[in-house]
Amino acid sequence: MTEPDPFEARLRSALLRYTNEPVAVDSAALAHLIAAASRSRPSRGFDRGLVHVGRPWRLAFLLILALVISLLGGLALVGSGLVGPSLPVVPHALGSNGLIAFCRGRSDAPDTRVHVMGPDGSGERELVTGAFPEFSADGSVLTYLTGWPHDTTVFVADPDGSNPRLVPDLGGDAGPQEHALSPDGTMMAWLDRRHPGGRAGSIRGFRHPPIRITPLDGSPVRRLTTGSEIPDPYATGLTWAPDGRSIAFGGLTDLGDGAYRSSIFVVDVASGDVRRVSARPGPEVVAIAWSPDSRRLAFTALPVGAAPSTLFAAASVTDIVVIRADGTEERDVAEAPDIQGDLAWSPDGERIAFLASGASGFRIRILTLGGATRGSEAVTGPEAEKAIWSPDGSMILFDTSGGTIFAVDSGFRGPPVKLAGALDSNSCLSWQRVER
Amino acid sequence: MIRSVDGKRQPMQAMWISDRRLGPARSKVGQIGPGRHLRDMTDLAADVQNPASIVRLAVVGDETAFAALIDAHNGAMTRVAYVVTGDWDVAREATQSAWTVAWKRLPTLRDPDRVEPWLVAIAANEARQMTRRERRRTVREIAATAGARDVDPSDNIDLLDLGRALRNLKPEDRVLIALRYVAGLDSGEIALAFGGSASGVRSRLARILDRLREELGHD
Repeated sequence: MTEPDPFEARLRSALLRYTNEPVAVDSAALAHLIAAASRSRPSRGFDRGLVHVGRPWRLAFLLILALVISLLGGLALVGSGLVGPSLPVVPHALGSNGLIAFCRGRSDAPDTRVHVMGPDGSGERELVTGAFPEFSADGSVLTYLTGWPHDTTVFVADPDGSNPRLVPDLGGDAGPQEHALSPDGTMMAWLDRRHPGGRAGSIRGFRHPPIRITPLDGSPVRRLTTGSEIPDPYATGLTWAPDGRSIAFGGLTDLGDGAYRSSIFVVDVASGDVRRVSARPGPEVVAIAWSPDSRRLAFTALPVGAAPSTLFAAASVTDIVVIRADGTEERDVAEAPDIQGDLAWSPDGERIAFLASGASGFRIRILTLGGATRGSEAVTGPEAEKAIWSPDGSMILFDTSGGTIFAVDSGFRGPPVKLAGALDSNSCLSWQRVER
Repeated sequence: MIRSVDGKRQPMQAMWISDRRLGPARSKVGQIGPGRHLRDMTDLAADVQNPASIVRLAVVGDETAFAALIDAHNGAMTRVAYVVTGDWDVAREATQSAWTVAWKRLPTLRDPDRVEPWLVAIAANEARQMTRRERRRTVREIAATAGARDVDPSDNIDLLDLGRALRNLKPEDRVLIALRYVAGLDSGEIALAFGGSASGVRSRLARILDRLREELGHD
């Protein structure tokens, strides 16, 4: 569950005050000064000669050349089967597809509302005031936040928003603790960061937060881990296995001199035993996804042996890695340098979907476990964060920070279609599984 | 599309207008005399409706268009540079240096619609380099310039504390904070500007936020 950090909103507000000073410049004089100092600047790309009226033949030639290349390229793509002719595709109400939950309203304001709509995008209605809805994997429970960012409360409710119950300890005026709802909707696992420890100014020395489990029937909270058994102090990405027996999370260690180690840990829910199943260089492990059969994990990471990446070093290659939950058979399945957001494993366990960013916008890419990828048509937008599969595996939903939810057929038989717009919010999608 | 000061996205044209409110109220075209630029003022005024065409004109050496770019984006660049350097004078110096770099590199700009992220990234990098070169100037106590304590109830962060906390960050980390929370770039745009991956930017930002959270007492 991707959750907003209330401190971010406060920091943004403070930085606006911090930088609130009139910034004036004589733009004409500065432009002239710079231009005069470098008259010999080479020009590329938008060559004036191309649009000069005295040379219309060059423009005509380039236009014809571009047209021919486009036609040949398009024919080649269709012939290869990578793309098909665009057909309008809309989500359909079949099988296990239930309600789609999402947010309307500013995600940094306390008046955001949780809305739901049918699996075909129809019948939208407001459910509750709140944000970040998440159905349990079995569709029996809905969880959401209210009051964010200043005084957050975490609720669970029936899927239609009725019977809301407050989950103690997880909220507060500093925002919610990172939490994850169990697949059967009966427990909430959470990272208890209320007492971070360590010394100021570095994650080095931070104490790994204990993982606690809160039963939603009112039973006492259970401490799953103490934190002391885990050497990597910065934990994130708490993710339940679909069978409810294990929880995975990422751990990060600052090794100094700009080097980091990223690890994947798996905790046994029954015993609290923690084991590290993977360790990679760099700070890249952030997306963790369980396979539907709970036997494997997918995550993003730097290749083994890669130089630890730093922000201002050369671009690093991000791999999508699949590993068995016991730590064996670790395999870098594909490079995904353009990945944006999380990984989403298909309900049949055969494919992994993710959002990819490029110059032309965003597209869904689907990776098979053999390493082959296919991409949807691009959707123009500034940022997209979350892609989710429909419970029956026929569709993929994704949202953009421009405030639109798109759906695309998982076989890419048509372009992404808009399901809802003007959300004024993002990273707020969940699709309910139902038994029909 | 770029973000406004409240972090939400809006068309570049809207930002153009809002950014001009922060600077001196003057006509974009009225200050530039005839004879030293390539285009007619009327044409440029029409092109203001399409910022990408302004960029294209600047690419081919149009001084008027370049001045329009400066007018539109100098404020955002200077504010980003200030977060990195902690000194308005150095920030202005870094921004001016950034414009020189931008003028030289404009032909390499692949997407004219994304000129603002490109420009603020250049300004941030210039500010970072200037910070390293002139460390003695950039570690100036924020208390010397900030005056009285300034706490807004909406965010409950004292600007004196914020300045100190920023100063304790590495310059690279201040660049990230500035690009994300002042310029409003998303993690993908930052990754595009500096290399690496969006996920790497996000995880590094998360760690910086933890550090600031701790230093500012917002656990």
